[in-house]
Amino acid sequence: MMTPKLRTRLRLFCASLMMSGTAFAWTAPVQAEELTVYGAMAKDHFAELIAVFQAKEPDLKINQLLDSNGPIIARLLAEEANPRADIILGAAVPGLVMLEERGMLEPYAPEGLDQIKDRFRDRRSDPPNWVGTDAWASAVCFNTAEGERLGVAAPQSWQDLTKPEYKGMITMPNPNSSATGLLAIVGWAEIFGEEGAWEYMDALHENVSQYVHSGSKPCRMAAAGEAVIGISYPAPGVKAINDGVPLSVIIPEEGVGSEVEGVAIVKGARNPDAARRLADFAASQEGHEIHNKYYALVGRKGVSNPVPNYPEGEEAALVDVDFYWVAENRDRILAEWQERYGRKDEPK
Amino acid sequence: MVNPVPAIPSERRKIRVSTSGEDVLLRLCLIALGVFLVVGLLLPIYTLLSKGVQDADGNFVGLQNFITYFNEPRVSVVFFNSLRISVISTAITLLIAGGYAFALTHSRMPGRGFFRAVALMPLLTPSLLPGIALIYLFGTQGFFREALLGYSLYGPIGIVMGEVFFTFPIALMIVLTSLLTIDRRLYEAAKTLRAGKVRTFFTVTLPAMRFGLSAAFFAVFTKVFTDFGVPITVGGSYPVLATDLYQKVIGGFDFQMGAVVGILLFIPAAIAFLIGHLLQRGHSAGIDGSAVIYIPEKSRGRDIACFVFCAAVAAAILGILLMAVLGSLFKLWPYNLSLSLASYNFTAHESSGWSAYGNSLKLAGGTAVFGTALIFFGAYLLERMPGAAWMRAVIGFLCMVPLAMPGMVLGLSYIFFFNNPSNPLGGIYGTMTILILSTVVHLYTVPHLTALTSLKQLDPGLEAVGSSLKVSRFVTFGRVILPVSLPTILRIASYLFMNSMTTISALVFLYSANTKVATISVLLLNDNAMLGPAAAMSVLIVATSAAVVSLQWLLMQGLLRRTNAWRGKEA
Repeated sequence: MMTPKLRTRLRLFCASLMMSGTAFAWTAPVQAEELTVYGAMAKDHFAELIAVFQAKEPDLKINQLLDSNGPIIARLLAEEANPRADIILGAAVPGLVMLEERGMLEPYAPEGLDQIKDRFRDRRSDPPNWVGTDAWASAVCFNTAEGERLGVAAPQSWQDLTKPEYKGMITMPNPNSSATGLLAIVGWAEIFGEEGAWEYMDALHENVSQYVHSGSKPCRMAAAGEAVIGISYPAPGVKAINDGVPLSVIIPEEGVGSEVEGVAIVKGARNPDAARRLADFAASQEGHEIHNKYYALVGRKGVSNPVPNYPEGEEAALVDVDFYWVAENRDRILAEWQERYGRKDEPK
Repeated sequence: MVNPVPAIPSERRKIRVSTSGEDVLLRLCLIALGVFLVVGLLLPIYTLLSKGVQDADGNFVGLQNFITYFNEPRVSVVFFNSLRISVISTAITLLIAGGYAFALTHSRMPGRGFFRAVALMPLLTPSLLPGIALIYLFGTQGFFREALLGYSLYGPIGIVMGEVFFTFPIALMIVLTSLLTIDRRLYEAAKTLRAGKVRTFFTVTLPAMRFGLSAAFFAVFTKVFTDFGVPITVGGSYPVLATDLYQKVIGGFDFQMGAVVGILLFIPAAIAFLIGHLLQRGHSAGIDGSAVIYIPEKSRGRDIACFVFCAAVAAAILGILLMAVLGSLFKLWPYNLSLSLASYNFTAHESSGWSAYGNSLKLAGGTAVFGTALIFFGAYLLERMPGAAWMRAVIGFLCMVPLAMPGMVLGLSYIFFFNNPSNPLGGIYGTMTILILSTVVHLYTVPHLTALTSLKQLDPGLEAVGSSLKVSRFVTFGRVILPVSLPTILRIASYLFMNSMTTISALVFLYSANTKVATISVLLLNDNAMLGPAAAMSVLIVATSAAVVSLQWLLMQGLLRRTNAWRGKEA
């Protein structure tokens, strides 16, 4: 027979085995106020915003998740029935519009909303579903050392990129996973008209060596010499130049599409108060001075310090993009793109 | 040793009468194991399958999603891409692994132990690592890019190279086992019958390898077909199913189509698994435990050839690993190759910084502790518990299913199942618990089989002796079975730890703000073309797995010496 003590222990053991599926949790018991932030902005920018906000609210426990725009939106959609995030920082507006139309955002007017430029806020709803913090534009990163080695000059315009001499040298983000990729296409649609944009991309496709997953990757690939030209946005190129890479960031002559990214509160947020305080902070003067360190173009009126090493002439080259049109036509554009270029390596 | 057959039922009945409380307890534990597998495996799969036949609003649409998917002009391309690279990688891996295994067992070349150890090293790496190292070696700026004769690494070439590296040890271990079971007496017989060397090879060696090679074929094929790490790093724009699934869900927000691709990913893997499983069963019945191990004769020419071949393969493996280490140390590749530790300053490169590594340790530790306890005790219940035959058979089958389940599919099914507001277990979504749960389920089968094999070797009369001494099964378990099985338990724990450190597939869909792990960090760094930090984090993962495996090996040596005296000299 079993001794009683041992039997108890074994029962406990079995019971714990049974329970472990449910109760085996690492999460600490809830004590302090928490805030879960999903970020889709550049890493340094996000880190600085959170650090400054945390300094103001030392007792708040901030859970942060930073990823590219696509994965963040995908995650929010996956969690639609049971939201985990309280607030979204730095998601591109077409994504936010998509969430808005599914009723996943909680309208909120942050303090000082009247100071935000018109094109940086949700104009269809008052209070707005989202408020823009900054905007960025397409750009072309060109590796000058590789260009010299291969004997090609820096491209000056979008049309230049279709020249046969750049064959196999260009990488571009896949618009299906990257907001940057979609932005480039939308920009071309504004510049060349939609038909013209498809014709342009047909020609460009001949020169593209790879469509990659993330928006900053083409520029970083150019910086690493893995490609010569990357269709991307300025920030990663600016950083590479500062690190000593022989790179130049080019704003093509025809102009560039720009995209606003902003902050929005998730409907059904578990910590709505803290989320509102962070939204207030992101829309404040102090917040915008931080945005301005990373982006030349920010949402609040009167904040426009030049960003060191940022390509000149960006603001003048901006083409106005209608993000409602983008949100509406996104699926159609992506399907068409996939149909035309998604099978780059299909055997002939 | 074993009671005559008719005696068993009567004995069982006796036990049931004398310790019925214990019997109930055992059954409860078995039911708990069943519940675990149903909740952790069956229900999520069911949810995924039903998602595959629903539209975005949850209405039943039958096979409509599959039809839509197959109407996309590029789907067949993706599917056949996956098939093609899987077949090619598998063929190359088998060729190399077959030769390598032959050299290890059928030659007297020096350094066999070293070659064997080197060949197993890829097991310590996440599958992202070979991709990253290949970029340094053969990428557009790679040190040996000319070796590709102008072809681009990005695409099928890179994927195949990476997959061969990644799956080589799996194939090698299977083939090696089959070669070691060849009876020396067969060679002696062949010699007596005056068969030439070539004839002996074709009539003795190759038939013995054939089983190993075909089993390895299916194991490697499944692995390549479902692998995500290599194609995401060096796949370029060559789409395969695993990356397509990632793209569909993460990029296109299309969960229905994700479910469809997931199901497609699952089917060939399941078929390969079934065939491999049947093969295994058919063969192992024929193995005779009394085979005498073959000791090759001296042959200088053969030994030199074998040595050169193995040295080349080992150099390739070590080259890839060293390249990753070196890559993590370059200051600014390819323009400034001075060495620095800057890449290891993860806080500067990725939002989660070092905490991703800490999370990996938590995940691996949790999986090792919880998984080992569950899997070993579960195997004990299935193998040595009296009665409840049909329940044991059903649960035993469930334990095999995870082997055929691609990690990405499991991860996706967990989102659908656990992040449903009506699921009472929904609380674990986004926590470390769900990562541990998914990893334990994902890795369940192999350690389960290890435990079963080891428990089978123990005398079936142990419990009977125990009960005749009026000691309960639990006491026998605690005092006899557990101590005797310590080496196995250790092996299981280290297997779980190592594989949790390196796995990524199930986790891509499940990590959250606070639970990002090291492999995810590598993936995100690579997505942003931050090659140095990605290499650095991979190196850290390899170093940790290597440390754990070494620790396990040291403990094993000590344990075996102490506890296995009863096995006699052979052990």
